[in-house]
Amino acid sequence: MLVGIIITWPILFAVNATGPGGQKQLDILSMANATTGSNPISYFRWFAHAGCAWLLFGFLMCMITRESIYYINLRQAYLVSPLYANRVSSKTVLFTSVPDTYLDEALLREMLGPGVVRVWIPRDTKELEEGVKERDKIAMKLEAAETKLIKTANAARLKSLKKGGDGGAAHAGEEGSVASRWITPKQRPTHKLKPLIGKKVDTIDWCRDELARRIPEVDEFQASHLAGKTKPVHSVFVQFTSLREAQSAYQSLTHHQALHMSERFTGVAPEEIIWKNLDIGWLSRVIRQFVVIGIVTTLVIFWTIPVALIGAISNITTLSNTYSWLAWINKIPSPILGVVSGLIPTILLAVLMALLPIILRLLAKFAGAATLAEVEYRVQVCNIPPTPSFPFTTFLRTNITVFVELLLRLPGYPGLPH
Amino acid sequence: MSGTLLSLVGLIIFKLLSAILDTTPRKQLTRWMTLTAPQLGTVFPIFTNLFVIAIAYSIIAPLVLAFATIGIYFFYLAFRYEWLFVYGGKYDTKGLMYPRALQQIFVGLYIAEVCILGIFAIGVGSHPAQAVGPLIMMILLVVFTALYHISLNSALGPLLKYLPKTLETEERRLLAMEDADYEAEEIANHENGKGAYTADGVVKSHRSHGKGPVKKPNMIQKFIRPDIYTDYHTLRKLVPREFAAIEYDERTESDAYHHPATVSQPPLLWIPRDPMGVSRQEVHETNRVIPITDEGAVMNDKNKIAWDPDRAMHAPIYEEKVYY
Repeated sequence: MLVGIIITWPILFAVNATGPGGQKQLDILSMANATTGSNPISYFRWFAHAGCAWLLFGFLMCMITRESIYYINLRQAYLVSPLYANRVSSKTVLFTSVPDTYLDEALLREMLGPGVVRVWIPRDTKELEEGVKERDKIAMKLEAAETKLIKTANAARLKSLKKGGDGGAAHAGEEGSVASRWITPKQRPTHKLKPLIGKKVDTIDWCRDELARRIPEVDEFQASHLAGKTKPVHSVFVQFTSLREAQSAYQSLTHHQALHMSERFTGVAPEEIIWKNLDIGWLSRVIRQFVVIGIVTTLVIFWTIPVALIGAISNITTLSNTYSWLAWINKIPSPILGVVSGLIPTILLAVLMALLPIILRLLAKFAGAATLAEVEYRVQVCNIPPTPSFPFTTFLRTNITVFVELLLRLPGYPGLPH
Repeated sequence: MSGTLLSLVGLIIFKLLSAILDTTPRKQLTRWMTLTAPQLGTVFPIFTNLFVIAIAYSIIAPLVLAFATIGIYFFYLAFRYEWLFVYGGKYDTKGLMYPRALQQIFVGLYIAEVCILGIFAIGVGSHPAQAVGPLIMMILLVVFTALYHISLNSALGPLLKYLPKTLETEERRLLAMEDADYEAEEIANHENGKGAYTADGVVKSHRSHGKGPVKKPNMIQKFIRPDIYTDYHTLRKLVPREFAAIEYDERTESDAYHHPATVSQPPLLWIPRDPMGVSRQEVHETNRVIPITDEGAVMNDKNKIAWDPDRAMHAPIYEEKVYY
């Protein structure tokens, strides 16, 4: 489990503790200083850099190798140990993009050999999901309403206690309800059937009636799903007798045609699965991946534009001094100007940066990742390109006037100062 | 980093929001029991980025390395604490993010090499004699790095994705041996009346394969040769055994991979008990429709919901986490 990651993380950081392994024989500790001088000694100065580079990077590559091997050993030790190997998830393989002919349990058993314990073929559960969601929502509403009722009644009782009344034993009020001893019917929790416009109903009674209706409905629906009467989804979960069988199935080629049943997963627990993405056929999967890669590439390139715009805002004073048509900005009182040029860019930048992972996650889900782990994996991969654009854009920000001028100097733009 | 350690924001949110939003015992319990989970996809790249930048500037401005070392060391301390004691999580990447991060460090290497190459290339223009040699060295380095990268990936790639059959068989054998040893010990102890259980059984089985290290290695050796000193046999001792009982009852196992909507039951509602009997009546009436209980939470004198956090695992709606 996550404990495994704990033991590998420190290594990543320990690598850096031995980082400064190359020797540095520069005067002011930076490379710019090495270009001065033309005597024979400085001839070899740059060889020192190259030599250092060889040493340091060679060392880094050794470290990376060493880390990889250690990590692999550790991971394998964990995953083969009884703690993991006995889990259902380790023995179960998820096949996706399964063609219709193979959505049959008998055929699968024949194909995958005698090690198969159980086969689950998920069904199309959109309606069932909605039914279950509604049912749970109403149940929670009921719970909240009951709690509120108790709280209100209790508050009334405590108030009357304070006033010196009795906190006596419960006895039924007029409608046979204990609560009505303390609160009027009007104080019971109510809600409207449609927000703002519907009929007002007593929450507790309405919820009870609704639940009495919905729970048997959902039960029936669930039974029909389990009996396999509904449309299946193009994925299959197969449980094997042991880790070894599961690994054999996972590692071997399953279908004769390209991309069919080719995305396989093992060791994935049910709560990690993104059920919506199990129905994707092979063509759809490929198209989605292309689309997502395209979007991410454009995102990386064009991320610089909003950041540059924000940079423009932060340099608003410089800009307004240079260009006469922005001079009205100077008339804004300086505290506000300070806020605008200082605070707002920071906030906007933070928002942009926070938005990026959310967008990437959505994209990864759209691309058909089948498990939450895979979503994170893809996000990790895609997060790398945009982040270096950040220093690039800081450079942009500080030199925004130069940049704007460059842009405006493009041929065809009329009326430019000098 | 200090923010990470203190989790100040988390604390404030916890206190504030729980006072405002948590109107039912269930909500309070959930907030109490849920552990924060780090969004690994975003957290990892931040540090990979730090590394990449540090590496890229390592030759050009080595002072960066000093700052990077100190900074990353502090992050290491903070995150070690967090991982061990604070984080929980919904999903388990089984550590696959780490090799990805290592790959991304290679990117840092490339960037660094290309930068230095660029500097040398410019230098060739002004000081040809000085720069040509290093330039050639750097080109060689880039080519070498690329080749190394490719061969490392192709060699270690399959090891990451798949589990080998050799280890499986080893594990079974070692487990069987350990069980047999343990039983033999037990029998021996019973027969001889000795009470002590020696630890020899485990060590013997380790050595019988003949692969254990013959001498105690010092730390540097241990570090450099992971394939000898931290091989599978040594590392499997680190794996916890008694963490959780991996047994499933029949129903759980046969329901495991059904869509959750297919097997979900109506939730057990939980309301607080009050001293005057309102909750008892509600329980009585609602039980005809949906299961409901009022144990475990009471309305205290300040009209707030009170339940015992120490007995959170005994709350009526608490469900044992199933390690699928």
